[in-house]
Amino acid sequence: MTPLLSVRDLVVEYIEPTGNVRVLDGVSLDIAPGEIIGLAGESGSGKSTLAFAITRLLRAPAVVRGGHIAWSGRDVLSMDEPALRAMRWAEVSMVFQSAMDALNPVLTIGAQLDDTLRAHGVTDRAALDSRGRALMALVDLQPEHLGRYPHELSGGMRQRACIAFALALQPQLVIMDEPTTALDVVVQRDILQRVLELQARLGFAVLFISHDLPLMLELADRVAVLYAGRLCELSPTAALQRGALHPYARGLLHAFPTLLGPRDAARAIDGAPPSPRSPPPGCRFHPRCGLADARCGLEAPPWVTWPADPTRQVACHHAGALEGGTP
Amino acid sequence: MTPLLEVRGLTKRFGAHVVLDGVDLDVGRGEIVALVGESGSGKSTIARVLARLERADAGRAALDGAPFDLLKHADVTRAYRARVQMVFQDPFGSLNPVHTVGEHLTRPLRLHGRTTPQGERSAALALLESVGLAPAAEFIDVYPHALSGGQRQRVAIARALAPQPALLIADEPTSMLDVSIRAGVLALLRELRDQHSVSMLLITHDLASARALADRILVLSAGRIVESGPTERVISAPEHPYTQQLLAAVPGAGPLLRRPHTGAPP
Repeated sequence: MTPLLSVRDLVVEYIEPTGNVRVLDGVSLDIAPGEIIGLAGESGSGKSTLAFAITRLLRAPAVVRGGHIAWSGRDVLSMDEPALRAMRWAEVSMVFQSAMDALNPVLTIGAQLDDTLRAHGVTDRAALDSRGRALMALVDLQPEHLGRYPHELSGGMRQRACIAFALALQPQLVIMDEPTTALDVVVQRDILQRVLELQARLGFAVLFISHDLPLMLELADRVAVLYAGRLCELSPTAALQRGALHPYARGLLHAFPTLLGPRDAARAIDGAPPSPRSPPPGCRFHPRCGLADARCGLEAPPWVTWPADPTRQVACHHAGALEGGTP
Repeated sequence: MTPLLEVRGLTKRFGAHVVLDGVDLDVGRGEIVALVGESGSGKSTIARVLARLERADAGRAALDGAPFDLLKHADVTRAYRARVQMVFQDPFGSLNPVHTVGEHLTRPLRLHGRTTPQGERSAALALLESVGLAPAAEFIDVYPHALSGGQRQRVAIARALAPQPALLIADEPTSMLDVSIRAGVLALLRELRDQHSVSMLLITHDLASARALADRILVLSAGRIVESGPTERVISAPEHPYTQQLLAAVPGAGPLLRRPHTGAPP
């Protein structure tokens, strides 16, 4: 199947007076139609930068320095403004972490929804109204909420409204950047349950960006783990849960306290993520890695398909060593 | 034995809005109590009232059996501050960017008479070692910007320990840290209790963190304690529907999110 989105060797830098900072360094990732792919990473790993690069929403000082992005076979990096406007929202939409910041505080929900629909050719009043009501129903909001201002809604309702906006034009891909991080867990669960139902019904693909790996494991078909601007591992969720190939992915899986098992089972990974301004040479994880040897500090491991399971990709000189497997 | 901290009927209003409605809580000596609640439950207000940053509208409290007046700020003595210290959520906002790590520690050491001028540097070094910032000599003269979030939070914990408090109030101490290092800060807090018998009131929205650290859990909803008990009992056999709902919503713990699957993933 042709991927919906194909990112190849993407390099993004932030231009700074003291030297350029490379925040994404050779990221390659495909998203298939209807797939939920999780992008896990810590703050500063570059996960939001990837979302903005895909939609060409990066602004100075961020610039794409290399690589390719293909959307349904079309070259995104060479698209002109009209082509980008046609792609954004109608084909690829986004849900951000802060619904309050994503919404316009001086317009009602309905007025903002109308703007979105009008910009993409729905102009008839009756059509706008019926579409608005249908979208509210989709995310379990009442039609009356169309007449409300963002501040009159709870945080969860605002995020539901943002999801309705993102689905307004029936996109093929919805990028969700920490969509429920600011919400309480019970609300988070209700909203994600709804997103999954809609995804199954409408068939859009989701790029789900989060630092919350346990949550992602419940949602995603595949999980990509990003560390300091490079992908470490991309595996089907079930395979990752059985055993990560990359030591960082494995460490992350064990870093979260849980409600089951031994109480003090969670283990921090030694050290801290590097600053993007001074990433370590070689493998970027090597200063924190228990498996690192001299080679790891010199040579960046290539991003390769795992020979024993071609559905998995990994970048590690010692990939799979923890599981006792060999490449 | 009287508990270290005893609070009865703590009530706080903001205008007409009652944020804390008769909260009772005890923290025993050497005990870690987690106060778990969602946003708006009033959990941070409890921390702020007990840290004496906010006045209560009603309620009684005693520390080491000695009553103190939660309703007045005038009653906040240096002796109270020496016994009760806070660790805040944001290690970027809670440290002073123009003070070195050493200055963050020597100030409370001096203020609370825990050191002599000659001894303050070695006392600060010892504090840094105790929070796992070793070798301490590499940390004492740097400014906060040179440290990672986890290292900053350890400095904030060292600063709170400087007056040798009996009680640490930690308000979401790991929620702004990178996920790969959070467990290390939880382990540090556990170790401080185990080795130095510091009691703790851990304020958190995260039941899994509460379970990892606390001896007892109090569940707060809309300004009231709806359930309390030993950690394992609250987690494995929650009695209040609200606690049950919270537990079921923790990723990886409750029933999985239902994915009405239409086909195999590509």
